[in-house]
Amino acid sequence: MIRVILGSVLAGAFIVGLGLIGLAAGGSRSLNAYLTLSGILFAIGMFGFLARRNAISMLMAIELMLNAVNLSIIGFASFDEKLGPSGSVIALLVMAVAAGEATVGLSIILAIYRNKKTPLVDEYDAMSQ
Amino acid sequence: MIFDVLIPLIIALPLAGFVFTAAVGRRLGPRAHLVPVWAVGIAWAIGMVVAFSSLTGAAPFGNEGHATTLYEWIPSGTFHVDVGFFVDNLTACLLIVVLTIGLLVHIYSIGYMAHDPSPWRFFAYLNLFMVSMLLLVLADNFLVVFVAWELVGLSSYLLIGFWKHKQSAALAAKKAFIVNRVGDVGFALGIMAIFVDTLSLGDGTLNIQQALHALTTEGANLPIPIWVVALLVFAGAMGKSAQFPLHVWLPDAMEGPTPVSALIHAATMVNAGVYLVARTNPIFASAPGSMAVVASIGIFTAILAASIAMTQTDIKRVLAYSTLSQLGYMFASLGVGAFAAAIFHLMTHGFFKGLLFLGSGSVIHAVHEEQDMRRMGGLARRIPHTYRTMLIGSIAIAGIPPLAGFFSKDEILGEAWKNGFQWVWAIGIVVAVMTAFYMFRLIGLTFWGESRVDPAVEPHIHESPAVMTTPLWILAVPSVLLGLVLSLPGPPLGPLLGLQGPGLLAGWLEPVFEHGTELLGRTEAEFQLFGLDGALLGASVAVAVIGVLAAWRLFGVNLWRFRRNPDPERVRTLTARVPFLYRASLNKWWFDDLNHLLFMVIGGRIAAFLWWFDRRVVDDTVNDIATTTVGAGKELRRVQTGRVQNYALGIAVGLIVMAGSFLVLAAR
Repeated sequence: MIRVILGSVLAGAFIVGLGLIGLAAGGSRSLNAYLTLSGILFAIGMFGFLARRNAISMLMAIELMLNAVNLSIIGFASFDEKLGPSGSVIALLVMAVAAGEATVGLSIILAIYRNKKTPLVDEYDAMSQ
Repeated sequence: MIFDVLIPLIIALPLAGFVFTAAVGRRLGPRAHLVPVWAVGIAWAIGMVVAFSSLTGAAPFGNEGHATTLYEWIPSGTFHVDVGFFVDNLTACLLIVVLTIGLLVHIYSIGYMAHDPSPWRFFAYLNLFMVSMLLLVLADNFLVVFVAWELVGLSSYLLIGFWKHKQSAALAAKKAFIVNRVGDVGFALGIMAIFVDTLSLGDGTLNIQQALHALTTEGANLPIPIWVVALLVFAGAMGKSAQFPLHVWLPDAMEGPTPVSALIHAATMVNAGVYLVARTNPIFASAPGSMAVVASIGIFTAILAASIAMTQTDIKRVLAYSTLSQLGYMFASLGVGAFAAAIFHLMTHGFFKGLLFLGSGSVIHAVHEEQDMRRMGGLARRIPHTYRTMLIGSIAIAGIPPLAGFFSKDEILGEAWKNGFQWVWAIGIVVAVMTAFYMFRLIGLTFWGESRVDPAVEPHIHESPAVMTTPLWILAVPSVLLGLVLSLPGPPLGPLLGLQGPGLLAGWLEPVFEHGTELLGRTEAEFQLFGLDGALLGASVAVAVIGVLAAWRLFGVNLWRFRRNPDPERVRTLTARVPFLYRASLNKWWFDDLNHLLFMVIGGRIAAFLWWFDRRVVDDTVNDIATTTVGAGKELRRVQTGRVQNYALGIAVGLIVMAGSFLVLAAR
């Protein structure tokens, strides 16, 4: 119970921190705010992918990184007139690819799980052979 | 044309005999000789028709010879090689020698090999040899000549080592093959040089007649000088004709059956070198320096071999060194520009040396495979046919008129003097004394005097069967008459009888050597019986007689009314007076020992060092590289843990480093 509350507090503080950083970087009228948020999100995703042992969590971390990239694309699109609507199209495309990737990744994880009886990736070393 | 069929048939018949005998000969047992002998017999008949049509200048041959193409062997763009045959008078002369002696040796071998366990193998090889030798003289292309050149080498190897269970025969076969290879390298390079030269003049060709024409008449700048081509071709001739320093294989080749020695190592194959030089005479004539080399090597081999022949005790070895010496004469003759005289001596020598070898085979047969003349003696009454025919052969080779050897040898010596090679003449005269001496030493030791035969063998001495003595008598006929017939109506006897014109053989060969003689710029001088020519003639008869008398004095004689016992005491005192020369001759001037030292001892050391170098340096370097690679791979595979997050960490670190360095670079 304490861990949940502590986690929520930490997460809330984190999000508030993010908002503060965004505002400090120039508010919603600044491209830098979007890019900073995107960079932070990407770093969190990367950390999750490298540090979590559970394969499902890693998959979620990948989604986080993809969305960070999407965010930066949308940011660029709304601040650069030349890109126009094509930025949104690219973002949609990334979402579609991400959905496909998640499907395939999840099914691979399920298949490995059936063999190894564990979701922990540090137990998987079949690629060394 | 009928001749376009007949000429290939000369080769096809022995080839068929070889294939048949090789395939089913084993089952024929003692009748294995039938097919090979008949094949050669029919080939002989056809060959005589072809040869005499050419010599008489009949329809397709004329003066220039007749070429016929069988098929195109190598079609490759502008370069193409035809398997074809070319018959002119030179080829015709060689055909007569090769086919006649070949046939007689085949017949003789029926008797000689009767007690051998596998005569079919012998006859198959003999037929293979006939195929190769005939291809050699008939081919009209250097590449085909080279193939035949190697084939005669192969059949010579097979026949020298025919008694393969004998260590000495196997080694002698190997020696002959390897020493011949040395010369063949030269010949192969010579053929390549000819192609390079003809290519520079337009179309590259290996056709003999076209190449000779192109190389000698254009007078253009050749990329490879003509004297290099001549010496390379001569290197091949030296190997096959056993000229110094490649002479060492021929005496050892006597390990083969005696008919083989007669056919291959006296009458035909060893003449291939003489034939080759005579055939390419315009090349040699364009480079006078190379002619001098040919003459020097020839006359040096002649005196070297003659000096060795004087002390050898093995009857076949004496004859082998005699062959070397006579081949030396032929090369000396080619070298001084007397091409026709060389072919003249080739023909007469082929017949009387073939006779002498077959006779020695009959002697060896009579005394139960004994070859040492010190354990013969007094055989004249026991084997009269062999004795008489061998005596005829010896008189012929010694150069006593009017037998064959006198005419050809005298012509060689006379031409040498008249063409300005007095030193060749001088050495040749010394060799002539030696020749007469060692031949009558051989006759004296073998046939005259007291018998020194093993008492156990003595009662069993028997004359050979008619199948062996008949070829001897047939060969005795040309040994007596061939010189006379071929030299008439020309000198030396023609003018004496009031006849005019050149000799028969000289007339035949004139178109062949016309070009070469033209290049040399020689003009035929009038024959003066009571002048220079008469003096040279007298000299060569005198030295022959001196040699014969010297041999009679030392080794005895028992001829009609001349009787004299051998004088071994005197031989001993004479040899003691020149101990160095005697030991040198007895040890063959240490050439075998020199070769042993150079190639077996020193060459062996070098080979051992190179083997060590290969093992320790080359192999070890390669092995070390392999070991290092394997070790490195073993260490590096630990990086591949198989855990996906390790890989991802690598990607992340790479990304951060890239982004970081971008920031650092962009900040500057």
